[in-house]
Amino acid sequence: MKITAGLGSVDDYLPYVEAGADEFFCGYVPYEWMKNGGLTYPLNRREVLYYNVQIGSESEMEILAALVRRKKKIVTVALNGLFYAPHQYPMIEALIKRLFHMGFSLFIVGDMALLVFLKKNLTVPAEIHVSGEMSESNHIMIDEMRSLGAKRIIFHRKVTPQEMKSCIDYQKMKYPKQPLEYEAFALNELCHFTGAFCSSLHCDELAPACRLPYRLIKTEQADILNYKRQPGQADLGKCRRGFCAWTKRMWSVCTLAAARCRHHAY
Amino acid sequence: MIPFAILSGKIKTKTDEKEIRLLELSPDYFTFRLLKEQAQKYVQQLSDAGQQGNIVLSFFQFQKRSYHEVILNCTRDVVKIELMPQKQMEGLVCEIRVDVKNEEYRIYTERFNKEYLNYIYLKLDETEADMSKALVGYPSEKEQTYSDTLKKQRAAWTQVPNEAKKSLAERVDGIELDNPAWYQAYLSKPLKDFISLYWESSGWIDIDLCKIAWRVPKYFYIGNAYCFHLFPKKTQLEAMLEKTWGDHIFPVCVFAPVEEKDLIKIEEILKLLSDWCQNKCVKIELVINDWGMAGLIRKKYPNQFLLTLGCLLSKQRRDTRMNYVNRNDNEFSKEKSQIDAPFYRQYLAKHFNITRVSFQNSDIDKSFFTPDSMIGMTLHFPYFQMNTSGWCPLLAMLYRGSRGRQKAVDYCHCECMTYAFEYPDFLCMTGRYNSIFGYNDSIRIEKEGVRLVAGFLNTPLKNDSAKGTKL
Repeated sequence: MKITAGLGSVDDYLPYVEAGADEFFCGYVPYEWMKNGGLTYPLNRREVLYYNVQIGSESEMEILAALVRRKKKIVTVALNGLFYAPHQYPMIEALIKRLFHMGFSLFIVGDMALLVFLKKNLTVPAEIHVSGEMSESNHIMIDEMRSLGAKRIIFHRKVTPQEMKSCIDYQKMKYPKQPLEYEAFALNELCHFTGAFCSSLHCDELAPACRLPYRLIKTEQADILNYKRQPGQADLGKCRRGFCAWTKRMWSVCTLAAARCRHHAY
Repeated sequence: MIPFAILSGKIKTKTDEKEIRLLELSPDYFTFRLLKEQAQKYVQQLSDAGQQGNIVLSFFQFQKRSYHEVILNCTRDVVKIELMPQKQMEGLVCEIRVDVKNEEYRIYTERFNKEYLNYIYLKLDETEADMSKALVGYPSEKEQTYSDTLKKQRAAWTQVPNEAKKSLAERVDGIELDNPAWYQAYLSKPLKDFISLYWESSGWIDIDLCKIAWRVPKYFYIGNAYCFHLFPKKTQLEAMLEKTWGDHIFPVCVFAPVEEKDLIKIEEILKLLSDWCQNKCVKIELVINDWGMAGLIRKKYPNQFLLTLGCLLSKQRRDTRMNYVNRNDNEFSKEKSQIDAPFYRQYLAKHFNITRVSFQNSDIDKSFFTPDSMIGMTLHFPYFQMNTSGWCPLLAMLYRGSRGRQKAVDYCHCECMTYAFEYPDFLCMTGRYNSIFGYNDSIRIEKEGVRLVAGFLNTPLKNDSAKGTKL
């Protein structure tokens, strides 16, 4: 088993290696992509602009490649946007080739159409990992991904260990000589919904839809539930934005400007 | 370090160019870093060419949602370039400081710093809603306003005029029966009464208009695209198929994403459907929302069903807050989806035998592709899916006290018939089943060959004999 960690910048690489990470994933969005429609179509699922969630420029990717050569802890590049415009598929293929020649040979894909396109058109021997954003939830789907050239399956957050085991056992039994790699999340965003089915906005100026205030009601009678709070339970069924500015400030200051200010009480 | 998406750079010499990331930025200088050899080579190249070269800095402008490029001429605008070897990163990198004297650079740097700092302060000091208000005028004060009932809330949403509703209702090709209450209602009523009940329960159209507008649609979409537990039980499904056959209606079975543990049940359902089709010598349509299901049908039942790609697999951006997002209208109006790519349509048609794609009536109307001979299009309205959870947020809230404490659901009593999540009125959103939906009944797209399907995420009216909540 290996520990995989996400990189927000090149500076994270060495401390994480020292802390015991075995491999990494990161995002890289070239300026040309941003300039040509990338503000509408994110290249990966880190869709905000004002945070350090991508590696940044080509020069930073070269630094990262040099560090990888030295430390031998591989980095996978996430290209796991849910969908792209037709003219962007060849752009992604060209980007993969560029990164491949730089020293990155593993890529995470989250769009079926991209998987199909790469299977047909990619000329460099890059390895494709299927993102959790494809919602792999049964072994037949994994069969389909395998037929499109996937080498690793990243299970999405809402797959139980039993289901993962069942999928893996099936694959081992059916393809004993062509094993796949598997990845599962231990820690992740506090999303209430499944990434593959999250079609709402992720941007700097608005909160994600799962963080909007809501309340529980009865449908037809529609009387608001007088929901009783259980001991130890947090702010049930209410908007969790009631955190005072001070608390939020402390939380944010701790994690600097890149912090995701969460109001959730779990 | 400044996020690359809002400030990027490019160094250009006579022979080379490279994307760089800025580490520090002030009106007088900026710094970036390169691999040591590259940094030395860059400075050498510049020096050999008599400082001929450019540095292009691209500043993201939030209000315009575009980049402004400032081009610095190394001969004219750059005062000094200094190499500063670094000990960090195992000595692999070298920082480069560029001292600049250029008015445009100074103006844009100051403006950028102000804007970025403003964002950081808003993020630190304000709630998310208040930050959105400051940035894009999002009405945060309305987040406290809820209607007493879902019915009242729906009435409060902006809707198309009655005449438009009437013409839409007359155009409807299919209706969604997406929960057990509707299955029971359909099985217990004659067709005409059921259709009448369907429109009356919708709360979308006046009852007077219902009488004029309703007609029997051609297709009944049976099943729920989001939650597998809402699919009809085996006996119920058989009875419904028989009834649709008698009523001369085409049944379309809608499947939610399938978890590994439910594959056996799915195989039984497919067997039942296959047998029914063979008995009647017909092909029925199945809406799939899972690639595994597509693969299963391709392997076990090739050419026995007509497949439609469901809304969860035909990706669109769907959010009711598009009006508030900082947007460049040109950029969004050109938005297209993966289905617009011919190679993908061809793959779907040839590999999975998919003949139709479902879209939902979110507000980005131009993202719909034009149906062709290979792939048709179904348009669902007036609700569109925004988020769906593979597990159930509603059960988590009801039984574990928090929407986030979700677990896999083995057996479900369909609590979603009785409970829902309500969102502030102005958002035009509703939390039904295991999903969040947005509302938009204004259909601005008129394309031939589009099948229009109505679904209201509701249960039959209570005063009716069907009694939707009795499950």
